Amino acid sequence: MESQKSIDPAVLELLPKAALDGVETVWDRHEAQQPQCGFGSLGVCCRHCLQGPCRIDPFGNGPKTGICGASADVIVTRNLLMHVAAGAAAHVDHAYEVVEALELAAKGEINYSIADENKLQQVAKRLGLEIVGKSKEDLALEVVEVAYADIANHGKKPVQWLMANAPKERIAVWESLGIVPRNPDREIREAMHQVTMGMDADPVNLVLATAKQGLVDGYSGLKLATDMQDILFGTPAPVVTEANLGVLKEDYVNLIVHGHVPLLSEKIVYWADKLQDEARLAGAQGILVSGICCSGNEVLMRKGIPLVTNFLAQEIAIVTGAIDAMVVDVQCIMPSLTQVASCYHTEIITTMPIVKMPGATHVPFTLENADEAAQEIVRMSITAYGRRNPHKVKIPNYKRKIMAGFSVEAIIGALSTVDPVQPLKPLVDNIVNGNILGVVATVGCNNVQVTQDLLHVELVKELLKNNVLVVATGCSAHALAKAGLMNSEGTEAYAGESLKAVLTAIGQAAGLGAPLPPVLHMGSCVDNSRIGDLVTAIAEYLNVDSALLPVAASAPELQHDKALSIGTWAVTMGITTHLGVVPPVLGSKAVTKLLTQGLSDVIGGKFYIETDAKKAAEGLLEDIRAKRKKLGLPS
Amino acid sequence: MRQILVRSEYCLGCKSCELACAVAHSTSKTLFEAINEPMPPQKRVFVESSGGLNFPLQCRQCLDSPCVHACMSGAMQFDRATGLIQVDEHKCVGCLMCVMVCPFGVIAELPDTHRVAKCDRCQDLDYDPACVAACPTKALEFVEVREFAHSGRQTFLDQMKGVN
Amino acid sequence: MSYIIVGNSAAGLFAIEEIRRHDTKSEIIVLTAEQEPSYSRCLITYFLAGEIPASQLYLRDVDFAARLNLTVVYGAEVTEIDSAHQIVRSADGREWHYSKLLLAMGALANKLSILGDDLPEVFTLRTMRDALAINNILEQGARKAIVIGGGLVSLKSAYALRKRGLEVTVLVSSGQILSQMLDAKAADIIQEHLRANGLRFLLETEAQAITGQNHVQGVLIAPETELDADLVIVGKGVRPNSEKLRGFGFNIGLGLQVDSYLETNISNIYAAGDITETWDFVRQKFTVNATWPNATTQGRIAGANMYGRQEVYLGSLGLNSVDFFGLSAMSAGITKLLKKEAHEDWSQTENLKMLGGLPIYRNLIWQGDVLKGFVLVGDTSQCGVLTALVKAGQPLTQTQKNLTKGKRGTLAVGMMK
Ligand SMILES: Cc1cc2nc3c(=O)[nH]c(=O)nc-3n(C[C@H](O)[C@H](O)[C@H](O)COP(=O)(O)OP(=O)(O)OC[C@H]3O[C@@H](n4cnc5c(N)ncnc54)[C@H](O)[C@@H]3O)c2cc1C
Ligand code: SF4
Ligand code: SF4
Ligand code: SF4
Repeated sequence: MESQKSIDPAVLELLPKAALDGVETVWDRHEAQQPQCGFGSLGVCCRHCLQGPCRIDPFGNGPKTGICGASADVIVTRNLLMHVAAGAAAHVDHAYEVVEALELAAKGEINYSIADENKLQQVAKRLGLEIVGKSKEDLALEVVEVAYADIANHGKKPVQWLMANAPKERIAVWESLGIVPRNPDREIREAMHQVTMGMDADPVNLVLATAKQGLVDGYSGLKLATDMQDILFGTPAPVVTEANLGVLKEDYVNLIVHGHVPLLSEKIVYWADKLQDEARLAGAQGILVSGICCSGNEVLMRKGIPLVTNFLAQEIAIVTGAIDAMVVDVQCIMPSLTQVASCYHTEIITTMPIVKMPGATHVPFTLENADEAAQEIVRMSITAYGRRNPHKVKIPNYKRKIMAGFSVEAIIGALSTVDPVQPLKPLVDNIVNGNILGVVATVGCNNVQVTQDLLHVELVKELLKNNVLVVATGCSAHALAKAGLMNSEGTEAYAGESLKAVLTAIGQAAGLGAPLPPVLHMGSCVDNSRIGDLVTAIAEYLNVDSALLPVAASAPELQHDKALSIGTWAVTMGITTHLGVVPPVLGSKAVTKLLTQGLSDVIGGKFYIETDAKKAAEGLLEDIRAKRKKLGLPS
Repeated sequence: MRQILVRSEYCLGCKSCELACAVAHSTSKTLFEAINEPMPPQKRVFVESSGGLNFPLQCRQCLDSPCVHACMSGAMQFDRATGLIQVDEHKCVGCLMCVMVCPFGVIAELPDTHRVAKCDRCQDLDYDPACVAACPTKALEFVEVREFAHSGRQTFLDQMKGVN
Repeated sequence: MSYIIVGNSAAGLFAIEEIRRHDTKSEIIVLTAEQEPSYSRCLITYFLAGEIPASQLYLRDVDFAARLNLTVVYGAEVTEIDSAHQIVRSADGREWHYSKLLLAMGALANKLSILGDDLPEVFTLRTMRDALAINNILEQGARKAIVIGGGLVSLKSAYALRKRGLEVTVLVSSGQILSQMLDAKAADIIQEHLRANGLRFLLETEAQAITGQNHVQGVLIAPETELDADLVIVGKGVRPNSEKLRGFGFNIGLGLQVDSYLETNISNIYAAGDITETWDFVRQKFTVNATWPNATTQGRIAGANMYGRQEVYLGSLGLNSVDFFGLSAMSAGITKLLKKEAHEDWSQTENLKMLGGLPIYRNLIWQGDVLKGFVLVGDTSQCGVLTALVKAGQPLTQTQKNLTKGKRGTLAVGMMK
């Protein structure tokens, strides 16, 4: 029975403790919601105006349209557009904050520095800026100006971040469809307008608008955010650390960073290190910072901070009784956390003006007071340590070694040990000759409707067996890390023969003395832009449309609006994008068909819905083989 | 006699019937007022799901009436006028013996009064079932038993086969 | 045709109603040793607790006997049965002729035989009269009560006295309360809950004697140890009321023996309720399952067969429900795993969690895929589904197994595909 909840042994070990401690978990609440409303699940419930709610009877015995006349097709696509626009909004908002940080840092107004001048120059070059003879501060301000210009664009000019970074062939396709965004804020506003009552009633037009939101997310959200963060905090390079609840240490102050934006978590990591002595005075051996969700990924990629667990087990982390404080910023923070924390001594600390929770302590975090806030938070965790009840502590002894930090730059760095002149050549050659059948990116969340991590892990194992190279971000990366798929042993155990040979060769050349891991951790959810960059680079190198590459994407356990909008972006890139959880669209057969078949004729990519890991792997392999065949490659 | 029958294949699990049932047992009989009543009304239909099927379940008026047999206060009895099994809320002492034996799990405990409640066929609405009226896909029907195709009964009853 | 029903409690009442459903004409004579119309024995502790008035003990309306055209004779204690002449006789010499006879005389409370057991404040609790007498003592201001025995009736009595504000101590000779009904863990949970609500328990403790001259003063539990008391309730179980039927030719084992139509070995004489020994289809043996639902069901089926139908009684089931201070517990069938070695295909699925500060405990007992019994504490909603699965007595399908987890399945994907 428990085994249906998770495949993570650490989680399984703590679930009975949670029950005995009187903690209600996400699984309990999921059970209490059963059965979940079919109208909502099918996407045919409309709440867009106050004449509603309206529901369409998918069996045709009851109403076929809403009160205004909207059909199931319209209701489904309107709802979908709203989901995707919300996801895009989340990432654009995130990106905006880090642009602001770069501006103030360049002006010397806040205590953040420009850590990666190379990245800055690389970004500036793509934007067509002159780089010679400029101080890094001045250049940064010019880059910031372009970013701001996109958001302040009142004309028809397309988003410059997109024009500078997207593949040419793709831009041509998007232009022909009229979906190139102008100003991300305006596009999101327009989408919110478009879905109101009495607006768009053309499902195809609504799907195109959805695709446009994918582009907004891809370039003004993901790409922009990653670029700014790399400039501010450095571009990730390979690091070795560990993942899963076993990273927690009983005799340390355990402080968890949870959320998404590195502005806070970087400071926490810094100050935790500085204040180690205070922790020792309080009787601990020191302070251990570890991460959940993408705040965790960000400081993992750049600082080697260990991962505690992923989205679905954020409550379970607290059930260890060993977490002294959990500090959160934005996104994917379960409102239940304070309830769980109230069974223990754990301090939940919110920091952002748009994320507050009753029962949490709010420490307002701004760019200006970042150091003070971070110190205060670290000290709160030390104080909380003193309240810890040792009888309630249970840290499962499960953790896996992982190698992470695979930015595109890091991958190219590793490859250039094989071919310094054309670093992509060894990778592409191996794809061409079939040693690597293709590349699949697994991304996204956990979803309680699915056994935690099961789809991520089963799907990826199957792909690796078939010599597919896997790259991962977000909570998918956490899942694969916990399952031991991000270390050299993972390559030995799970990679197909020819993939293993390639990874071993590169590992040797790069001086690792062992194979590269079979799954490359490329970062947080916004770092899906890195995957986009890699695909773009390979397409440029080969001079083909990215839609033709034997590359696919998968969000096996997606949960968040953001995952839908990232997936939409992947589809606009011409990539077949697998969803392991059924999105709320099946209530319209026409729309379902459009999203899963029709789209590929127009845009090259499509959604592929399959809830079984084995079948999904087969489907993705089939897709990759078909693309190889089209390119005339052996399969 | 008319019975509530279920075409479970049409049930989407929206729980409209559950809401309507609760409202039908409120004082005001309207949703917006019912949610503020000091004693929250109790629903007597439960949308269950099992093996991928949903089933809105309320008292099946079992012929062997285990609840009547188990009731040790005499509260659960055949109502001679309607031929329905009904609970007399004033006699009920909340011993939960009926809950212990109802094979469909459709007798609810009223937390405030520590009594039980079950489907009364909407006695207050002149026996015009609110759940049936509320179902947007007509998964619930109130029909003469003879009219209803045998196939309609299947599902849950199949699962419970041999039980009883 | 003339029916005689001896006993107007659970079994008798349901037999009467069933006969009248089929036969509105024939004479029905109801003989009862007590002075009361049908009332619920199970509710007398509710009355003692002050939760219901005595008037709510009655099971049917005042016009019941008239409406069903019954001749009810109160205070008629049947002591003799002449089956050759189809006649029953009472202790005071009255006699009645029957064509069909139902013996539904229930059970008797076991008494203690220790020094002092005849003092006026020492009671067993079985009848409304007992309850009224105890109530009198309470109204006279009793402060301290000792309940001897840890079974269902003892605990219900202890609960009632506690509710009335008495200091209550429960003496249990074994190491566990409710040992017939619950497994050790469930019993611990309930005991702890009762303790938290002010009941005191002394396990593995026997009452040696009840002290006092004309009134109860205390209970001696060891030569040197006396507990103060002004009221003692003895709950040492019940025995079928079949002793006085010896000598009239009945087959009597643990109780009055019947065939699968609930007819005794003497034709035209049926038995139902606590007096009867029946086939327990979960334990797979003949026994007396002295609970209300078994009594009513047997009464109804016996009534049907007395009328002339041929309804088979499939057997009885041990099951029970208690609810103390907001914590409920239910169990049915086999509630404890017996010695492991001898029962290799037996297993249990046990689950304990806390919800809002209260424990939720489930223990299901399996023989292979057959559900043989369960114990629930805390969350007993939908318990009847489990009872039905126990009654089914056959290997459960996966879907049915999901029902046993108290889980609602998931819809989404399966249905949408
Ligand atoms: C305090 C208490 C609490 C209980 N709680 C529960 C509970 O929670 N759940 C549960 O399932 N069960 C409970 N029981 C048990 C339940 O009450 C019995 O199983 C049930 O009453 C049995 O019914 P019956 O008809 O077989 O016999 P009884 O109820 O014992 O009735 C016997 C009838 O026969 C009559 N009678 C007896 N001898 C003679 C005679 N010689 N001549 C003429 N008439 C005679 C009596 O007057 C009476 O009418 C409880 C019992 C008690 C005492
Ligand atoms: S209202 Fe109808 S569709 Fe909705 S849950 Fe009830 S029976 Fe199912
Ligand atoms: S309440 Fe339950 S046991 Fe009683 S008749 Fe209804 S379904 Fe049957
Ligand atoms: S008939 Fe009335 S009481 Fe019964 S389930 Fe339907 S709404 Fe509820």
